[in-house]
Amino acid sequence: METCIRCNEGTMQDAIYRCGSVNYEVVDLNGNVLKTFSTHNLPADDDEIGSNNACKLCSCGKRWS
Amino acid sequence: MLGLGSSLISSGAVSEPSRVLIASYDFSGLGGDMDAPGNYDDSELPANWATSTNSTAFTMYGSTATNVNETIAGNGNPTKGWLVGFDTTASTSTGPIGGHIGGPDTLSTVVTEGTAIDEGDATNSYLVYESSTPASNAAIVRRQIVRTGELDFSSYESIELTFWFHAYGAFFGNNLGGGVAVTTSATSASSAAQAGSGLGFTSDTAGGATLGYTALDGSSVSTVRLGHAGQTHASGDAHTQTHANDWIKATADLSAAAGQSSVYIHFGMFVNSGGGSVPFTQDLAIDSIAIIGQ
Repeated sequence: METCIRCNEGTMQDAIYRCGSVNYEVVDLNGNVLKTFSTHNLPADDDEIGSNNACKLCSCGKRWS
Repeated sequence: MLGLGSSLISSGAVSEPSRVLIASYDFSGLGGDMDAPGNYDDSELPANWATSTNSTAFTMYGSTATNVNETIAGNGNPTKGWLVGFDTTASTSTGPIGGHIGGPDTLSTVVTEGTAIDEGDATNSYLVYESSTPASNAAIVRRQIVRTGELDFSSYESIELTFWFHAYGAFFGNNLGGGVAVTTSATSASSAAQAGSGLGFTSDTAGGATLGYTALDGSSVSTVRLGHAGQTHASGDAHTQTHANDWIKATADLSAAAGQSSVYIHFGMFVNSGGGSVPFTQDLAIDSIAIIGQ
């Protein structure tokens, strides 16, 4: 069982960190938003939108990749 | 002759000039969390520093000016390009895991550890070139400068600059990246205003101080653009803390500017545009800067 290095006790789940159309956010493997990290003001056709990384999200809110 | 020399030494007539910490910057207390909720608008530069924006273009070299054209809103500080904050930057696969822990060199301490803090807070802030749009473009080389306040090198015969950097991102390379220029102008990093031979930029890929460092694999590197051969780090962003995301110490001999009473150190970013779809993965971070004269 993986342990979050920050809190050492939270529940970790597989997720994806991505640059969405409005926000940088973590979504679950079905695309449901789990946590919003920040709002960006990138143009709608910007190359960065859609970029993503597999990550782990801890119930404490920390993401790891 | 032997007797005369011995006499001079024993009387104290021959002595080394004392070392002086001219300035140091660790960015502590400045800026905000760069991947926290809300638009990032908390960047704040140290006192008397300045950066090129759409309203203040700097000369990069020759007739070439900076061209990161961000519309500044809110508190008037940039949210892309050169800015100050803590934690990782928001984009995927670029930037450090957090600021350099060790702080700048002092007169009594030479910092040798490059350990980064994971996340951290405002006490761990650092300077970073946030390369998301408009600070990068897959078709156009973007250029932006951040510079120190006015510095006085008139009392010194030699000047050493040390700082720590982190360059993680797939788009680094093409002989571009971060450079350091020392000039007598507050708005130009060009060789036309250089404070000493070789210290001003002459093109996107040439000119400026020679930066030396030991790479994470132990090899010695000498360059005028950090990231010129590609990323110097294979780890950062949301990775766990390892040697692979330690910061690297760079050193530059700025002695060519010794004797000048009014100089500015310009950190210039020449952003690779060389094709591909991830130009935003060029976040170059700088921390723990020390300028020591002798």
